[in-house]
This record gives sequence, C-alpha cells and structure tokens, in this order.
Amino acid sequence: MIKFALPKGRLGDKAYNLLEQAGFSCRDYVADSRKLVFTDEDTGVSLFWVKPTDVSVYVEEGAADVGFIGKDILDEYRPDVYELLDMNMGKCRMCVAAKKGFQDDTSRPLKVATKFPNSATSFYQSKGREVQIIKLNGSIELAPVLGLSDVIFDIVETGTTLRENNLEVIDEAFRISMRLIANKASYKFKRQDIIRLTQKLKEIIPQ
Amino acid sequence: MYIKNISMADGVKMDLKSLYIDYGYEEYHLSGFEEYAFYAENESFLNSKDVIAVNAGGKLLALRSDVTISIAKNIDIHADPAGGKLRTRKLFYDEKIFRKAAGGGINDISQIGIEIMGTVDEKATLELCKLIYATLSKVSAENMVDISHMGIIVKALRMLSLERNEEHAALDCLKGKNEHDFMRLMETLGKKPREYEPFLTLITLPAEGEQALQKLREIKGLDISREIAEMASFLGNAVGEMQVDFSIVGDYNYYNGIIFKGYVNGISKAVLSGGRYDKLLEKFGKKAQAIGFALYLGEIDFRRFGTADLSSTGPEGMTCDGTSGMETLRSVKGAFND
Repeated sequence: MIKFALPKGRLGDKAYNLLEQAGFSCRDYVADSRKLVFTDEDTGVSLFWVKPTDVSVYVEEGAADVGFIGKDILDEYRPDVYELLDMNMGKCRMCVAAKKGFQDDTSRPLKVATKFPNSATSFYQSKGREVQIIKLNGSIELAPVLGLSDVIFDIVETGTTLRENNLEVIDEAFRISMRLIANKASYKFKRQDIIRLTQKLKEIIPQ
Repeated sequence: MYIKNISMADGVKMDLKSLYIDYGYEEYHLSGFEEYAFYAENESFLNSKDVIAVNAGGKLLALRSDVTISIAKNIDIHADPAGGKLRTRKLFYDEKIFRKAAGGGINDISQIGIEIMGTVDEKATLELCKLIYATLSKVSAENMVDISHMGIIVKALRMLSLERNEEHAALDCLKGKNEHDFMRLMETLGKKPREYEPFLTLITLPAEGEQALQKLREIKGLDISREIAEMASFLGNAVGEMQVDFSIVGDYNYYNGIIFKGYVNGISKAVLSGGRYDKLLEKFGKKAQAIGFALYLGEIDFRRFGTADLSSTGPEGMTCDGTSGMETLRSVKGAFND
C-alpha cells in the first residue's frame, strides 16, 4: 500500500489524473466528497488531500509515503525527503520585483517583503547582500507600492498583477513546478513500488 | 531497592549495554555541558544553530549537542604518554543531547551508541556490523542498513570544480536523489558530461549491493578502487539487509570512509547513524582510525514494536540490593530473558 498526500486544488486534481493514468487509481475516490481518506486495496493506493503547504510535513513525518508539492514550498521549508521527479506542471518562477525604475541603495539593508522568508534569506545570502525581511501572508505586491519594502520576493506566473501595480521583475531566484517527493524511510521499505510509480509517471508527464 | 515500571526504552538500553559489555566495550560518561567556544570552532560538524548556550557564572557553556566530538577530543588512545603506539579503545555511551527545537524550545534526544578509536581493521569492522544489526534488532526484526562512502562522494564532487555554494547545491541534489535539479545546475554552470557523470551516477545508483558496486566500477576518470573494496567488504560483513545509498552524506571535513544509516519498518526516520571519522580525530591531533554509531531512542515509539516491554512482561518488582549498577542491569535483563 502506498499512501499519497495530494495538495487540495487544481494542481492536486491534475496530479490525481496522472496517478490514474499511471495505474495508481483509487476506486473509492469521489471528487468533492467530505471524506478525508480514500483507500483501494486492489491497486494498493491510499490517498488524502491536505493543504499544499502541509504536504511536505505529512511526507517527512511518514504519514504519507509520497506526495506532490510545489518547489516554492520545498525551497522554503527544506523538508528531509527525496525529491524524485519534476512533474513539469504548475510552472512559474520565484522572482524579485520592484517599482519600475527602482535603484538599489547598497549603503543600507534592502527591505524585502515576502511570504517565503527562508528562501529570500538564502537567495540574498548567496549574493552577499544584507537584507531586512518583512514577512507578509498575502497581497505582497502592495508592500513596495506603499513604501513598506524596496522589493518583493514572490511567485510570478504571468506577471499581470505586477504590471497592474506598476512593478517589474528585476531578478529570478529559481524556477518552480510541482515535484514528486518521498519519505526517506518509506523509500527503503517500499522501494520497488515507489520506483515503479516514478517510472510510470515519467512516461506520461508532459515534457 | 525495587525497580518498577521500567520503560520500554530503558529496557532496550539495558539490553544494549549488556550486549556492548559482552563485546568488551567500556562505558564512557560525559557531563551535560561543553564549552561553547569548542562547539563554535567545530560548527560545520555540529550545525551551530542547534547549539544552546548557557551562561554559567560568566563562563559561556553549551548544552551537549553531540557525543562523538567530545569523546574524540578527550579520549586517550596512546599506550604511552609520549604518544607512539596506539591502543584501540572500544567505548559505549548512553547520553542525552540537547538541540534547539524547530518551533522554539529545546529537544532532548536520548541516544546510545558505540565508538571504536585506535585501529579499525577488518575484525573491528565485522564486529561493528554485527553490533549494528544486533542494535537495530532490539527495536524491530524488520530493519535495513544503507551505506555510502564519503571518499567517493568527495572525489566525484571535486571533479565538478564548483564554488562552495554550488557544492552545497550539488550535495543537496545528492541527498534528495534529485536528478532533475542536478542536471539543471550542471547545464547552468556549463559543465561537461565527463565532469558531472560520476556524481550523477551516485544520484541514480541502484540500491542492490553488487549492482551498485558494478556501476561504481564503471565510472570513468575516478580512482575509487580502494573505496569500492571497502564498501564490498562492509557489504560482505552484513548479517542483515544492506543497501547502497549515496543520499547519505556526512560533513567531508570529518567523515572519510563508509557512512551508514539504519531504518526499521514503521518509523519514518533513520533510527541509527554512524560512520568512519578518522578526520575528526585528526582535527584533535590524533592520528588514528575511528568508527561508531548511535541509536536515536527518541525516534522510536516502542509501543508499536512491543520490544523489551519489561513493565508488562516482567515481574512487578525485583530485589537488586547489594549489586553494582551494571550487575543490576544484568540481573534485570537476565530475569526477563529467562
């Protein structure tokens, strides 16, 4: 039996469709049900839906053997898991954006507003730039507009929100997409099943 | 004196202490503190962010956050005071270590382990292998050991000729079996296949011992025959399930040979880890060999395994008057084994 943690939402639905195609379906699963755990003894699949940011917790702690999670969350929380596959879905970028025409004043720490303080810190450490991190939980684009921060460190998908707020991308930290992760101990004892899953998904994921 | 309701973890510890004594290991005790400056000097081995400092009357101390490094610093392994001839020390310990908890606060982690310092020959390695499995079996019969080799990792890493932060990124990919991001990193850095293929092989290596060793032998441009022979010997000494897995990575400033982790089915993290750390001894001016391992008791919910359930399977009380601490342990263990 492989236990899957799937992120609630559009990407989780896409991931489940791929699982079905790969032969890891769950007959018991009904979309929009209030049931939390679905199990199919025939296919050896047990799955549950969790908040996207919690997938890594369920997998790292072994409540799930494998899970699907965005690279943005993986980079921020750095769970001790195996990252087995890039699913090539949910593609976007982690970027630094600022008001158009922004000039960095290097004589003082750069004020960075973000939902991803660890990723932002590590990005600027690699550049040797001193920063003051301002942790926000949403509407990040507002911070430079109101003078709360110099720049933002955030996910950019199409760039529409940035443009509408007179902001522009000035640097790119890393590319984001959904990843297949596995608990390290589960991988030892369910290795054949997890390798089979990885290989099947590799054959069908969009390139 | 009566011993009642001995916890399952304590029962396992008693069994293990008795086992290690039978194999000729002497107990090594440490205090709960270490000088903070000592940890600061060795931060890459310890991760100084985990260290908890305490001010003791103007002197900056730290709660003990590692056992091996303190033993390596303090141990006397020379037969004569002028140095020269080595005497091999076989030690075991049962200690708590303290580290900062992720959400704030302090984690106290109970661990029991062994160290062999002096000469680590074939006989010592065989004994260590036996003790790894004997230790894991006290937790669960369904166990597995994965081995890696720091010498091979370092040689493959050097072939990449990376800056320090790039090395960390490559090692993160190895730890996570992350082939896709490693290939992106190599592409970004403009590395050639002959430079990165040895490292890539470590990421994608099969786990089965003989297949893994064969793949390692096929690596071009890397002189690792001695390291492969060491791995083959270790695999040959295994008395249980053992796989090859290079996602086990230690600090290359301290570890120099085989490193390993032990797992039991049903526990989500490694419960045992260890390896060869001659370089750590060298750091303290001791030219000798060393290998050891620790079992992390805090990771184990013994109720799930029903191991050494002394309080439920043994008699309610037991008279242990007039015996030494270790005799007490032995008598308790004997009573429950009978």
